[in-house]
Amino acid sequence: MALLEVNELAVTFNTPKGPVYAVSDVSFAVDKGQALGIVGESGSGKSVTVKSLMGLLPRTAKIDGSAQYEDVDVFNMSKDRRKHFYGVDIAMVFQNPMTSLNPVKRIGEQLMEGMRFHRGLSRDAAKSRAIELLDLVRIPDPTKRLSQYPHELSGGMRQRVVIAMALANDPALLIADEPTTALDVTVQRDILDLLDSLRRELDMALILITHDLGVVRDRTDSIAVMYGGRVMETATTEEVFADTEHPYTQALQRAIPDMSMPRGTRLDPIPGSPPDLAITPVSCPFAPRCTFATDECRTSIPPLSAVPGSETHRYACFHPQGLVAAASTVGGEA
Amino acid sequence: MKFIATRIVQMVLVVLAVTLLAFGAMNFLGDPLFNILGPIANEDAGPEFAEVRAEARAEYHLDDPFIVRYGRWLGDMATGDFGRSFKNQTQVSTEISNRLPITLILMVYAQVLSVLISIPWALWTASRAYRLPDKVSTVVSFGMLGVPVFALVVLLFWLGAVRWEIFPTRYDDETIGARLYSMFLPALSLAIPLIATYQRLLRTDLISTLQEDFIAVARAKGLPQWRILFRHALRPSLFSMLTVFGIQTGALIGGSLVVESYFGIPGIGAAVIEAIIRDDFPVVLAVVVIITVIFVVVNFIVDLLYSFLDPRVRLDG
Ligand SMILES: Nc1ncnc2c1ncn2[C@@H]1O[C@H](COP(=O)(O)OP(=O)(O)OP(=O)(O)O)[C@@H](O)[C@H]1O
Ligand code: SF4
Ligand SMILES: [Mg+2]
Repeated sequence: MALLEVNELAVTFNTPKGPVYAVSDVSFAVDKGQALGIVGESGSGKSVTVKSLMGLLPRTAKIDGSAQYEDVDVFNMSKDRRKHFYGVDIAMVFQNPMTSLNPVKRIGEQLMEGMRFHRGLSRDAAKSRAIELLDLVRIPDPTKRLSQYPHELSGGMRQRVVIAMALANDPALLIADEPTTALDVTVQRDILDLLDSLRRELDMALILITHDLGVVRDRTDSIAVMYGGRVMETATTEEVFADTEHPYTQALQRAIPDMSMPRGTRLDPIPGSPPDLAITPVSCPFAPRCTFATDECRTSIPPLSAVPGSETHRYACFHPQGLVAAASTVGGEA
Repeated sequence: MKFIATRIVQMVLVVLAVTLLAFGAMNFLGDPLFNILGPIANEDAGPEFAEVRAEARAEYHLDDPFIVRYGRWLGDMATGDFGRSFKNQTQVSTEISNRLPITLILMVYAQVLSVLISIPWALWTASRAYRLPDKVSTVVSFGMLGVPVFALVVLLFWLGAVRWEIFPTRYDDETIGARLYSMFLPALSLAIPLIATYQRLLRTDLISTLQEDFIAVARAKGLPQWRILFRHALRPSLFSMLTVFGIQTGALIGGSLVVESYFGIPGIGAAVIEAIIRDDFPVVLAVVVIITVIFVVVNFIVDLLYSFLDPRVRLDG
């Protein structure tokens, strides 16, 4: 059974210029102890999706659809349940470790406050737990760190602290929203590997958000590819790579950074720009940039369809590439 | 601690500069002898006053060069001797030590009231920014800023002491409690514009702090709103308010002159007004020096507090 199940999630922002359809018709599930990768370009609605789950959206956001976490209806929680839900059942790690920590509070204080509030730990108990956590995220000299301020630590170390902070109350689900984008390339891999091994060690579910399909290839069980606030393709990680259906997923695959490329090379291989989310969608959001687009794509929205023979693989496209190729091979033989 | 040493040297220089200016003004803008003796200081007043004039010149060392007199005045002041009043020949330091504490209490009282009221108010409005309570608060605080102190004094006096009879109409010195109670209205009239100033500044800074990532992180940790406001947002938002706190301490001294005279509080303000009217320069000078010292010291403390508020502000900068 799924730990978290999101169904037909839609988030619309009320702005002075009219509604912005940031997220539409998004569904996915995460099983206990499993990892889900959410992949998409900037502006595809990844952060808005998880922020809606975390209750972090501003009041201008209107949320539709449902999210079920175990027996909790996330969007309609009782006040009592909510008091010890975030930071206990679900925790989150943010993109920029340089701004994620309060600059005027010591590391120890920031690590301890969550457990003290949710679990009522004594100062001493919280302190030894904090040291344990810093050790868990492989920070050397943990006792010394407790009395340091964030600015005394490097970006990579700070992100480890943020991760330790998120793990304080043993969450069953950790959401990491582009946890390495702001970091130096040399430490990006360390942090991703750390998250991966923590998930296994702690038997915790993980939602890992990234621009880079390569990041989730070896670190997730399933993947949801998002574009224009919608899910384009969702499947097990194996299926996504073995049998890519959506042209956008294909484009993302071509954009995976190659190890042989010089460090710092910026990839921008998908021509064109993301859709304007302020317009009521009437077409496939990827149509303006898609080489396979037809009139059908420009006049109606492709629904999520299942790949025949798979329980897990779905795509939103009128011209699924894997299936088309398979069909033409069959046709050629006939 | 290089920072502290530098600041202390700066403070001493500022105080010296102010004393030099003030002492110079007393000696060069007008004739000190005239201020001491009145019309008989004039040579034309007649030979019968020559002796009185000579005595006064000797007593106040008026024949010494300016720089010598300035040096002597500074030296005396360092030992707590502010000289004698021109008018009633009493020791200025006695007068000041009787009156200064009352004014200081009034100022501290006003600042404490301002801070205690403005901080919760700013937190409340910033967490509801641009919504109705915040909009109403904006109107109210602009109103509070717009009313001049003398009008506030009259209004509060009339409402609090005359109409509702909650507070005494006069300053009451009996006990500490009575003193604080009778000083409430005066302190409040000084505090009202400060409350509005602090509330405006702190609200603005809080609104931008609340946009910070670390606030979202604190929310994601599941901390309750009040805790996020007090424990995470407040401290990094106090900078502008603190700066203005230091500056306003100067303005408060001016305000207390008005308030003290209206409520009959025997503070330093009443003494200054009287001294200015009567050209009693030793008193005026003493008060100018004391005000300068208070202002400089408060702003020094403010500088030290910056580094307490934000550990990234280093004291050796
Ligand atoms: N508060 C808001 N008001 C209006 N529109 C918003 C708001 N927050 C986000 N959006 C819009 O929602 C869309 C999706 O944003 P989101 O932050 O989820 O993208 P993302 O996939 O996380 O991108 P990135 O990779 O850059 O983080 C964007 O077009 C953004 O402009
Ligand atoms: S629906 Fe059409 S436009 Fe959209 S991705 Fe598929 S082929 Fe391209
Ligand atoms: Mg994002």
